[in-house]
Amino acid sequence: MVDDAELVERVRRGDREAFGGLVQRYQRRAFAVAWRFLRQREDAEDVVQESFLAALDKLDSFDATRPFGPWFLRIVANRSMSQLDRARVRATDPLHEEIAPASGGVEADFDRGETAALVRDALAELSERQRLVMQWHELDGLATAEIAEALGITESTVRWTVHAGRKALRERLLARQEGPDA
Amino acid sequence: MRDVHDDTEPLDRGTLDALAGAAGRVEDAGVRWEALAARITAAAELPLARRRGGWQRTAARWSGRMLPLAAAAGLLLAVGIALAPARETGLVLEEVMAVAASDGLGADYVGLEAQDAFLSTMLNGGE
Repeated sequence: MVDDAELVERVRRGDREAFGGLVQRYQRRAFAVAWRFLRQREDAEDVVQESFLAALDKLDSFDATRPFGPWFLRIVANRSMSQLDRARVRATDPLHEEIAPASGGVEADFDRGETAALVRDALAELSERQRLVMQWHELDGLATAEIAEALGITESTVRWTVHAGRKALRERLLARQEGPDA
Repeated sequence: MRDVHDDTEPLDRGTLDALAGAAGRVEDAGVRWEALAARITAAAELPLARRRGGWQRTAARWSGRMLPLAAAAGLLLAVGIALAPARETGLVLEEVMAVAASDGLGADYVGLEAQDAFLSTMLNGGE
């Protein structure tokens, strides 16, 4: 498989096929990053497209000795935040900051469950950045380096956040299992 | 370097499901990935073409400048080589003549001829 560095080098020379290769490779992760901010499929798709074009525009300033993925996902995160800000300004009713339960049958069942409520409470105690770290890491499969670059924090901070988040979730769920009398 | 939190045990299936239930899963079921990729690639066509064109233009600009320069340099070199011996020979002759004129060698040379003619006449009995 052609590595990212080679694809990037070819894209710099205007290779359409290489650009398509990068799109295929990163569009799903980019979508996951954007969706966590925006929670709207169409908006997330638009941000993914904008981000690829922005990356193409900035490609000459990209340090090819570094991995492409984290650098690109940083662009996606920045674009998503900008989009979110625009949406907040436009909206007469500001978006809720707390974790919004996903719509749909399975998630709706969880919403009614005690476990989901506990986990939601645990997540609500985290900052927005910490929640994103947990969601990207635990649910969306993003690498530590990608999360770190996307949020502009160190990999060590990402690992610490994951560690603290897991601990908090476990403690809450354990307390529920043991019950108030335990 | 090994981080102190690297050994954190992953969440079990139940907790992950609870987390997904609370935070929501990425709703990508409705995304048509191929169509999205095609849309992105199509939108990138112009900037990509600019990159291709930019490279070609640069190459063309350089070759446009370099070819006449190279041809002119080659021509000058050939002319220089062709003319160099003749010019050098000419210069040597001019220098010799100039020195000869300034030192009176020409007159001396004429005097020697006259002396030779006189001696020849004397030795051969006035012929």
